[in-house]
Amino acid sequence: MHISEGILTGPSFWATTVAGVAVMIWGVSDMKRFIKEQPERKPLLGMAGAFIFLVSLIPIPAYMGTCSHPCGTPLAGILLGPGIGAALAGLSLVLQALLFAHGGFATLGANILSLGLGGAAGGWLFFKLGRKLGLPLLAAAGLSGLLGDILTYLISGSILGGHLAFFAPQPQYGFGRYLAVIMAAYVPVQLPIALGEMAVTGIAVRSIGRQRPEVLEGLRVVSKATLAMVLGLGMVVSLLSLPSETQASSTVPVTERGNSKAGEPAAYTGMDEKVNEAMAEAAGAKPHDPYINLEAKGDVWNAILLAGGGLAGFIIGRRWHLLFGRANEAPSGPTPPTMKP
Amino acid sequence: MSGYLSISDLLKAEKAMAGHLRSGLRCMDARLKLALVVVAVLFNVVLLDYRLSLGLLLTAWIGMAASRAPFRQMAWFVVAPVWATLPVVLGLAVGLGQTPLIKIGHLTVYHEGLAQGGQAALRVLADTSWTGLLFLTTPFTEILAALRWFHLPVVVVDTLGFMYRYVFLLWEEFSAMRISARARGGLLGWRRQWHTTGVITAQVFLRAYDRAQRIQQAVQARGGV
Amino acid sequence: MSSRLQTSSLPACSPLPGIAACKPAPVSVPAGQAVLEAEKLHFRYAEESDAVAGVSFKIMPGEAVALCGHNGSGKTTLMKLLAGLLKPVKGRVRVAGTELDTRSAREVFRTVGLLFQDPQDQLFCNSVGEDVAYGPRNLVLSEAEVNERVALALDITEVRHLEKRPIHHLSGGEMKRVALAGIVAMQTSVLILDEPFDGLDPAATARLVTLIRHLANDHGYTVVMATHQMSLVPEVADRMLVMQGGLLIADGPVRELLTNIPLLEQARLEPPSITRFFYKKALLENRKPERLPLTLDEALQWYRGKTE
Repeated sequence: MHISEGILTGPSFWATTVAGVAVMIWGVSDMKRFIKEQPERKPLLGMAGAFIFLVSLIPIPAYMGTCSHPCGTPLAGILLGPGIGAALAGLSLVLQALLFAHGGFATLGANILSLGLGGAAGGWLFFKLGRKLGLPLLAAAGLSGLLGDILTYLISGSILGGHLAFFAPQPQYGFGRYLAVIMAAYVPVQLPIALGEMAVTGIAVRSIGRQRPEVLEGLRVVSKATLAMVLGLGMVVSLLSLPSETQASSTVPVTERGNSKAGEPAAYTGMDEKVNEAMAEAAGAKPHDPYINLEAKGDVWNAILLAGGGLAGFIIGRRWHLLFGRANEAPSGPTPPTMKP
Repeated sequence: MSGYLSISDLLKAEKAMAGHLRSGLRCMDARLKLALVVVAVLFNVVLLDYRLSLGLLLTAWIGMAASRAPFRQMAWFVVAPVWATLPVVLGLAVGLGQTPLIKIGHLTVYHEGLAQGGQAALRVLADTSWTGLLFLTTPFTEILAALRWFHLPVVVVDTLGFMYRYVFLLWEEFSAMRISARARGGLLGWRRQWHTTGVITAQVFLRAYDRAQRIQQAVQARGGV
Repeated sequence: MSSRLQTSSLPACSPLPGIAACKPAPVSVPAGQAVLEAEKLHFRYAEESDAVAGVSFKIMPGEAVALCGHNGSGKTTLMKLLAGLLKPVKGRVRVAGTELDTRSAREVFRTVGLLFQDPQDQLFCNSVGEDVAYGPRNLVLSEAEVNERVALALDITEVRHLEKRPIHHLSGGEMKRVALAGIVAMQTSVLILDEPFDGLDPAATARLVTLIRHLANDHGYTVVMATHQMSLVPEVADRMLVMQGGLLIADGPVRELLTNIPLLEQARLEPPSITRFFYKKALLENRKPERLPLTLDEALQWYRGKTE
């Protein structure tokens, strides 16, 4: 869903252009790192870019017999990673604007944000999450294609809606209403394309994986996952984002929960705390509340921790062989013949 | 929703360009043209003056006509943005303003909104016309050279060049496979179309991947790194 | 004695412009030493059988050698080994007396020019002029010399009018000629040509044969050429190497090998049609097939000799 040339003006033009340039800087630095690490694969960047540009020209059935074109950027993200995928998406947008008047130079920044960041990086993320959850290539890539596209529409809609709500003269509605109207206008048209992209992306990645699994391994699309890191990050994010729960407070005795009078100190405090405080004072440190106050979060936190632990345990167990298996284990199934140059 | 994009139209436009090398703006330095396009687009979206947009639009069309750009390609740069622009114009007309003009059902078209929509449409046309002016009067190789001169990162310009060089080949391969699929009933119905398109897309990628390896050997064979 | 024909059975073509000015770069190879040498070469692609198995040969400066074999016999792999693009699993490659290792392989392009089978793989720049200049630029020549070499190469291969043309606008035959121009512009003393006649019409083929003959006969280029078109082998080459399944099964003069029908059949190759005709004619007449002509002109000379 390209935003047409000339639609964004003033502050929204500048903001999206600066943000788009930042995304391109990130992506280009990834490209440079790729070339530095593997100089013999430099042509692959160009060919991959040509491929991404081609995918954006492929006709897929939309609705009522019409044809439209996929974004192609979720597939770029899956195959090349979020940074390079976003950068190549950006370059593809330059060519689309120059050669086919699709999008434009003034809205390049906005389109990079939606198609590059949302489509490529978002698509990559959804794919990785899908794989972490144990989904096969078809499902994970399909999910990536669908959700990457939807994210693209959301970002484009948000940019347009934001422009109308905050920077256009005499807006009738707020941002939320504008976004809802834009999405209502575009979803009936774009949803069939998103479904088509889901199918094409899933089938394409599955075909590549079946025919030439070493290509996906070489591109690190399928790799031994650092599950612990991702899960750990996820848990930390969950921790920090939870609202405080007041079901159990360290100042209220458990037996008298609900009966304490406000402002009155507790009659009894826990022995552990008293000992810790005494030891801290003896060491010359000032006792203070924990930086992350788990107790204040209460039972909801405990339940989430339990669920997260259970899920993590399930995934680690299922993927044990990837984490601790040998590096040169052959993939299951017959090895397909490779093409000789 | 996008308009109809055709690589073969692009090839025809390029070949038509090659036939009129000395006409109009084709003689102008690509760097100057690129700079003018950037400045025109920038002024257009920053100053927000409909008279400027109109002036830029007319200048671009006169430039393209003087350079004997193919009319079909000139028209494309007007028609192409219509799909995406029309809903926005209508949206502005009903979403912005205070002075009601017409009431259509639950929707009210406002005078200010319609004016904003009209100006937005004019801006879009002006900007895409200048893009068309650049493309229809400048060989892509010269645009790349201009980008290098403006010190864009080497990896960006090289990748753009590669993309442009090989997209036609990939399109030929894709089209050939698609025709073969059609001849065998592979495009009947949307389900089969999706499946066939997915499989062919995978093949195109794998061919591109292998070709990249061979290209690297060709680079090394002539002393590149 | 060279079996390369003095006259050609191909249609006559006008002299190629500028060819006299084209000289190969000097190669410091002591007299009697090979310019290309393969010693018990082995190469294997991942998890597959040997693509090249125990191949050994020497090619002297100025020789024109045809490398023949069925599809998948290892010709292209061997060529890439000689050009330093692939590293052998076992064995050695020497170019101008220097054994190729990781370091020296990077400099091989100064001595060996490789024409790829698919010109789309080789022509990776955006325009013809840019692509032909790519190799000379890597030789770190002055801009003036690069331009001179490019102009010469474009003239020799008759693609001067295409200099500004984008590569993707070229036809298959034009791409082939431009790819050759890119190699000629580097003025390497060794030319390795992988299926140079593929996709060319008869007139273009005749001109290319003339060019290769001039470069080899008159300018001292060493030429190694892989082709399936056996009728062209005697037009260009002195010597023939026959590969089958990664093995080098024959190495000898063109006349000797092209008339050895059982050998060619074993290697899944066909002799030139005229040779095959005379071979079968001899068998039908219960005669021993000997002095078989390799080209139409030879056959006509033989026929004229018989009727006079």
